[in-house]
Amino acid sequence: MEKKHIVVHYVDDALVAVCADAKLNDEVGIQAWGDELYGLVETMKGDKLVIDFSKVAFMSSSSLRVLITLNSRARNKKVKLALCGINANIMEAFKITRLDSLFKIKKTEDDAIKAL
Amino acid sequence: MSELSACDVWSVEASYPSVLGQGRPLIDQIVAEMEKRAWSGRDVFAVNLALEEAFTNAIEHGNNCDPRKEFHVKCEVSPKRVSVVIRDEGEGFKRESVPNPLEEENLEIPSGRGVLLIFGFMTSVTYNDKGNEITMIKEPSPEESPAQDEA
Repeated sequence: MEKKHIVVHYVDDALVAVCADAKLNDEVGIQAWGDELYGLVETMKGDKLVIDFSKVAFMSSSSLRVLITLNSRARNKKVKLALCGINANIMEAFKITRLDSLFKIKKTEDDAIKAL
Repeated sequence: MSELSACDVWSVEASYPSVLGQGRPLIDQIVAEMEKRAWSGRDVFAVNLALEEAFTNAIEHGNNCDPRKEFHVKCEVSPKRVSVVIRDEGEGFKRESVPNPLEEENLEIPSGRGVLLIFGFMTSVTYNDKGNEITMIKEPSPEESPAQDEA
């Protein structure tokens, strides 16, 4: 069976995608994870999407690349995007690359949903 | 975990074909050697990420994913210093030739962040003149400035 890289649920009208992998560093896995996220943006009914990273301990620049592409696809589909559950080390990577200014980033799922 | 003295140094030299993922067991081993020497989780993350990015750059950009070409790694881990030298068989890299992803107009360009992360997370980073060999040094981060969760 194909591995799922995200697990989704709805909170009211917001779609929450919880990233299931502890490490996002394998190119094949990152590509599959990205494809699942891109697919969500294409097919989701509402206009609020939260990506929850609380299970993710490590991610490389390839996964940041996926998020940048996702952000642009979401904008094109008029989907509002927020990220949450990012640990301190990964947050530092967002700051170094200034991606913290590109994304709406909140600590918790609730805060992220409220921010949309 | 075994006790290690301050002068305990683990070192390795290895070469790998330019196939993504080939060097990952070595990265895992370097991470394990840092953990044995009581490096902080933050510093282990930093070196782990820098290694991932530098290996990927050597394979994809240096050797154009040509499995006949190798990249070479030399690493030393001590309780107070990690040094890694990675050399590929490519024509060399010039940092100024890559658009700066920190510029406002480049913020949404997906590529070019690996090198930024290497410079951001390591204590010092240098290239040889040709640009096909990177030397990365990590020294312990000050304890009083841990990375903080942001809201």
